Amino acid sequence: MVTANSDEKYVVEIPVGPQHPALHEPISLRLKVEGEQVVDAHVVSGYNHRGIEWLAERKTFYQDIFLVARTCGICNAVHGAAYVQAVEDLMGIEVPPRAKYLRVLVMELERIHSHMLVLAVLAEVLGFDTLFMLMMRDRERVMYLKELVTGNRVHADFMFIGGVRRDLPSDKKDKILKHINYIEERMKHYEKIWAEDPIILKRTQGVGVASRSQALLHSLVGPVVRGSGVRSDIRLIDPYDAYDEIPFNVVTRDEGDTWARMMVRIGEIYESINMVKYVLEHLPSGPIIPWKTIKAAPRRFPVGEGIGRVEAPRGELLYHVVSDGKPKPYRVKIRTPSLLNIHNGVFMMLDQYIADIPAIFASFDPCISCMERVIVVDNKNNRVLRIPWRKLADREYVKKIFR
Amino acid sequence: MNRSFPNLNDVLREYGEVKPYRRSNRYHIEVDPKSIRSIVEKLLEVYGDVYISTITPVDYLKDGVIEVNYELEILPLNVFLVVKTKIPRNKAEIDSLVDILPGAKVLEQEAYDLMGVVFKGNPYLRKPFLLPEEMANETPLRKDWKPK
Repeated sequence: MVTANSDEKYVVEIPVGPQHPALHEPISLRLKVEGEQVVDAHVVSGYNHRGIEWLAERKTFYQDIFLVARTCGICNAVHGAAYVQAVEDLMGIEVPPRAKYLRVLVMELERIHSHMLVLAVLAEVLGFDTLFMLMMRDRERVMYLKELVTGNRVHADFMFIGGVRRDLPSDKKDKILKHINYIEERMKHYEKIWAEDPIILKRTQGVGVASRSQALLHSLVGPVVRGSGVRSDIRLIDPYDAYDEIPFNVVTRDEGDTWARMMVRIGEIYESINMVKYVLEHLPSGPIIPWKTIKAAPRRFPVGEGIGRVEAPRGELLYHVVSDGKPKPYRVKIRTPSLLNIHNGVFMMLDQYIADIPAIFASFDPCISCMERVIVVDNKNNRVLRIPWRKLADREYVKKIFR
Repeated sequence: MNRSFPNLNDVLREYGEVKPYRRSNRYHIEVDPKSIRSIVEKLLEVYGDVYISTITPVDYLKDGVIEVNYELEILPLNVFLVVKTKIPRNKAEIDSLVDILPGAKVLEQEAYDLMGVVFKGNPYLRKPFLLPEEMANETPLRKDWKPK
């Protein structure tokens, strides 16, 4: 790291992103650092804007079920569930109980594999590569279960207006239970590592703290806000599908740091495993859509609006669908949890060390990228220098600039 | 719940009538755009744990208005409240909430970028925010926008 003379304060801006081989989404983080400490941070997004809201206004209500699921690869089933919930709200459709339970089954499987993914990614960021590989190996079992239930390993395309698209044969129950018991056993091992390993504790405890009021004011959602002690979970405060019948606990912690957010996720994996078991035990019989066949679904849509809210693995996911009575929606608003968590959560990075930034950022469940070049902001002379990364290795050159 | 909280209808009576949606704990209220700040301030003062879920602007080309929906979650009541305001399309301006509710920052940036709603008092508005560079002067979610 380049250090400045004691009487001159250099603020160095480090652009992190938007490309990095280890982390997977194009986003850029601009950190202003003084020495090793971050004094300012902001997020630059928009590298891959796909215009899904615009496109959704030009497809029919039914086509949109499959379009909106493509918003996110990891939590595609919850996107579908939130959208169909909004359309059902608009049309006043009552979902059959069996379909409600099957939706919960798929959404909870998705929560398990999503949380396992971020736990693995954070382990990798902290230098625990073996833990990363082990967790990804076990996560694959959940992907297999998702394939077993929905027919697809990643993109479930399971939701449909009024119900679900595929029934669960009774002979698959034992197979699901076998794998889910294995995951539970493995999670006990991983929980022990996350709760006791001295290096993990040192790297995550007290790092990136958000107090309860800060988390609420900044509209943070999901495990991030629950890690700051707020009992905010859409499954609890605005129950949808079968969540008002299935017992579960909302996991919260009061510490508000990176470690607390990860422990909330581990607690939620156990809750999800219990919910999957409960659903398999108590799966009601009956139809999976309110009509005789999927083709008999209504083709006319009333004028009005519908709102769908679900608790995605990353937090509250909201769909606001406005209809003007035509076969295509007038407006589809998608509010994803990560947009708020990433953009509004950067305040947690202030006064932290550069080395902790990847851990904090990964604990929001997004991505981070590598430094490609640095920008030197000379506040005294009001100039900005862009230095290629390679030139920084030249000690004489650096000395000259910072003289 | 240790404290009892006043009824939402009583709190917001001076601004308009709180109407229910189809689902039991969701409500909406139509208000004057000038009073949006005072409503949010009042909700924060009375209930405390209020967070903004999203801002949904909807362009009604025929009526010449943009409907800005502020979707708030009031945690102590478990109530989801949509505050609806209508602003003219050709002068789409509304007061910003960013100083009283910092969570609104990114939502206002998004609405400004995609729909062209100007939030007065938000210093973070910039274009392009989500859109690519070459679309810096365009507002694609307005109904009269055509792809080039």
